[in-house]
Parts: sequence; structure tokens; C-alpha cells
Amino acid sequence: MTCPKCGAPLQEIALDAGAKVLSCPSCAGAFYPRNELAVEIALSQVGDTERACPQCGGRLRAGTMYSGKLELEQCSVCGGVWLDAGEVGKLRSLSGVEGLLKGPAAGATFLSGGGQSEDIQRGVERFAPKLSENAPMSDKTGRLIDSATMDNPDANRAPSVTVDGVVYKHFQTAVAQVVCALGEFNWKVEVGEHARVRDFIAPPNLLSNEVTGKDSVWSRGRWLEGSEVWQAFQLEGSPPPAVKVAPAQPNHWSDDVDKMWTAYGVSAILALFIGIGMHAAAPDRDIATFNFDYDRAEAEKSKVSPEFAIDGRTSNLEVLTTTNLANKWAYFSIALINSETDEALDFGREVSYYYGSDSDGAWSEGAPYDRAVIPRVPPGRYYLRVEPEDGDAQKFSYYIKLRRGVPQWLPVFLVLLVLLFPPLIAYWRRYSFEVDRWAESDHPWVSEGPDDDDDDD
Amino acid sequence: MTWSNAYRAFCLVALAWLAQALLYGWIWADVDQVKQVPKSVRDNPGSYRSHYASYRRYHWGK
Repeated sequence: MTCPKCGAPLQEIALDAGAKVLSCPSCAGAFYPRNELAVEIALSQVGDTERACPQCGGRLRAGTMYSGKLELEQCSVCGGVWLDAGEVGKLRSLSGVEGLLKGPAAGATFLSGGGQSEDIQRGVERFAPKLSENAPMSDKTGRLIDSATMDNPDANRAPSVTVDGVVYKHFQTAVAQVVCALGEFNWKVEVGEHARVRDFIAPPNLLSNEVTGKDSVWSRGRWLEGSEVWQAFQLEGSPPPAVKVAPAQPNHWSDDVDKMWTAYGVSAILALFIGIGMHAAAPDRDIATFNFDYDRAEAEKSKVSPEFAIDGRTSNLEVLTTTNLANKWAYFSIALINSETDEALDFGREVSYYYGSDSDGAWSEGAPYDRAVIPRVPPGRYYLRVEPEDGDAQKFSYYIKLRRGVPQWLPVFLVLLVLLFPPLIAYWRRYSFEVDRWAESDHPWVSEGPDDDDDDD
Repeated sequence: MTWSNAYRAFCLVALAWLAQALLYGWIWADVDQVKQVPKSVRDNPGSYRSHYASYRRYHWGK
């Protein structure tokens, strides 16, 4: 394919998802195949030329548009249009169409000014908000709602936008300015041109509004995992690891936290029911009581109780040691010995009781008794072996009372406490994720104070 | 498995433990198990050597 003007080989250039043009690298002219232009071509004062169409070889016909302000050539066979260098810009300005290329597979939406608001191509996502800066605030028809006013104090009021019933929160407002243009563009680009860009998020979706002069462009995006992008483009290797949190990145802890709190609530209720039920079913009855006397003068101070029976299922056993100590202390080494299996459960308990009065009134410390609970005592025949040691009491009396299956609330509280930690951790993770997300926005959750500078002395 | 599903499973395990702990009287206690206690202890209690005898000394009070 050769240039109909200078004869140089034409280059096929693919633009914007499917649109293709034939461009001459020598004279900068371009051939646009039929249906690639968004502008209707209707030539006036048409005349044949000697040039051939680079696509089909048909004869090019020259004509004018826009009252003779634009001259161009169109193939009489395939309908493609040849534009010389500079005529593209003329066509854009005379037609008022910024995006000249239709790109049927582009999935993009073009809003054109100059009274051509009917010329809209709906994108793949069927997102084509008919919004201007003066759009009303109601949502009755499901149109895009922007809660910002013309004053638009975005940074302070944090406006929101509602699309299809989803509320997008304002993330940031910035002014983008063109500082350099390099490459080929299908719209007019000027250095110094600026646009106000506002981003709104409803993870994993993101709305972006770009306002330039009287044009307002809305675009919607969706956050993708790196693996999804790699898979879609069939790239080798794996995507780089994520750094920080993207604005529209979904917080995977959100659902988990709510579900975990629900599970904790249900578990707490069940734990209380189990505790109440087990308490009601607990034996909680006396087994035996044994009385002893201690005398330091005795050579053998250890005592052995008569044999007694513990029946029923395996349960705990409460050992209540009560003394008549007053301002004294004693230590008891106690062994619960199973006379059938010759196995013992050995433990030690301290009893101390002091009392008196001073300028502040009466006081006391400790108690003349001690309560110990032995877990998981199987049924059988047992006897007690008690070995007291005194600190400063030469003689005292004591008795030991045994009680079977005493209800305990400690396991219930322990379970409630242990189950509380995972939801708290998950809540913290969710909160930290959101702090990181909004840290780069106009609405940070945590404001950073000034750095403390070390003074160099 | 998501964290919420894992937590639900953990809750079930914890509740099962709670039920058996309350059923069999679990409690945190400092108790030693001693095996093969000689039957002579019934008649001669001094022959038994407790793990706790002379092991602890009273360490607070007036």
C-alpha cells in the first residue's frame, strides 16, 4: 500500500482497541477506512482525482465540507477517507468531535460537545452517565448522583456519588496538568492544559471524574488481583508483590470480621447455656468430713483418714481445710490416695489468718480455712493422708471436708476470653487496612503530626 | 478456608472442650499424680513422702 500523495509505503497503525489507520511516514497524511471515523462524511463540490485508494485501489474523489473550510478525499469504492497532514486537526475543530475514532470494540464512552450529545457510544459495562455539573441530586431514575455542590469543598465535606444504588465515597481531588506530550494522540493535547480529577471508591469499584472546561468525563474501573491481569494477558512469571493498599482494593477482612463477631456472639450464648446446664447437673454434694488435731510435740504428725467412697462419674473434688488458727499459719501436705489403684493425688495448701486493730481500726489478713479443688477425680475408694507443718502454732485443730462435683465458672470465662482474641485481631487488621487505604487520600483516618527533629547540640 | 470458617471451627472445638471440662470437673490446680503408693501408708502414714512436704515454706504474713 503506497501513499496516494507522495508514493511512500504506508504504515498500518492500530489505535485504541481495534481502530486501524494507514499513515504515511513521509508526508504525514493518513487514510481512514470506512466506519472508522465518528464523523459523517458528506462531500460537496465533488470531483475525481488521479489518485488511487491505498486500500482497494479505487479512484479517490476530492470534495469539501463545512462550507468549503475543509478539503479531503474519499474513495468512491470503499468509502475510506484520505486526510493530508493538518486536515485531521481541522476536521476535529470543525466537527467538535474530540475522539474521531469509533473503535467499535473500544468499550469507551465518548461525550461530545457542540450539541452532539446524542452521539454516544455505550461501553461494555453500559456505563454512560448523562451528567453535567448541573445534574440534579435525586436518584429516582437511577442516574448518577453527585452530592458535591458548585463550591465543591471536596476535601472537607467528602461528597459521595451514587451509581446503580452503590455509594462511592470521595477519595481524592487533584488537578492534573499536562507538562509534556510525547507520542500520537487522537485528541488535541496542549502543554499546560489541566483537568480537575476526582476519584470515588466503593471497593472493588472506582469512579473517576475528569473535568476540563465544560467537558465532564466519568469512567468506572474495577480493582483486579495481579494474578488476574497476568492470566488475562497470559504473561509469564508472576506479578510483583503488592505494595501498600490501592484505593479500590477490597478489604478481605471486612466480611471475616462481621462473621467472626457473629460467631463469637453465638458461641458466648452457647457457652453460657452450657455453663448453666452443667451447673444444674453437677452433683455438688458432701462426701465426708474428718477431724484432726495437731501437736508439735508428737513424733508423727501425719494423719490418715478412714476409707471413704467417691461414686458417680469422674468429676472434681473440693477439699476444704478449716482450722482454729488465729494469728498463726500452717502448711498442709495432702494426698488423696486411691486404695484400689494405689495412686495418689498430691498437693499442698497454706492456711494463715492474722487479725488485729490499729489506729485505722480493725484489720485482718488471710483466712482460717483454705479451699482447694482437685480436677478429674474418678470414682473409687479413697483415703486421705495429711501432713501438717506449723510455723508458729504448737497446737491447733483442723477438719477437712470433701465435696463432690462442685460447679466451676472459670472454664466458661476462659473460653469466652480465648474466643475473643481472634475477632479482635481481625478487627484490628481490617482497621489497619483501611488506615493504609485512606492514608493517601484527602481524608486520612490518622493524621500524621510533624516529625520530631533531633536537635544537634 | 477463610478466617471466618476457621474461627467457627475453633469455636466449636472450644465449646466441645468447655462441655467436657464442666462435665468432668476441669480446674486449674497444682496437683501431682503419684503412682504405686505402698499400702503400708494406711498404718504408717509417716512412711509416705509427699512432694510438698518441706518443699514449700510459708513466706508471707506477720
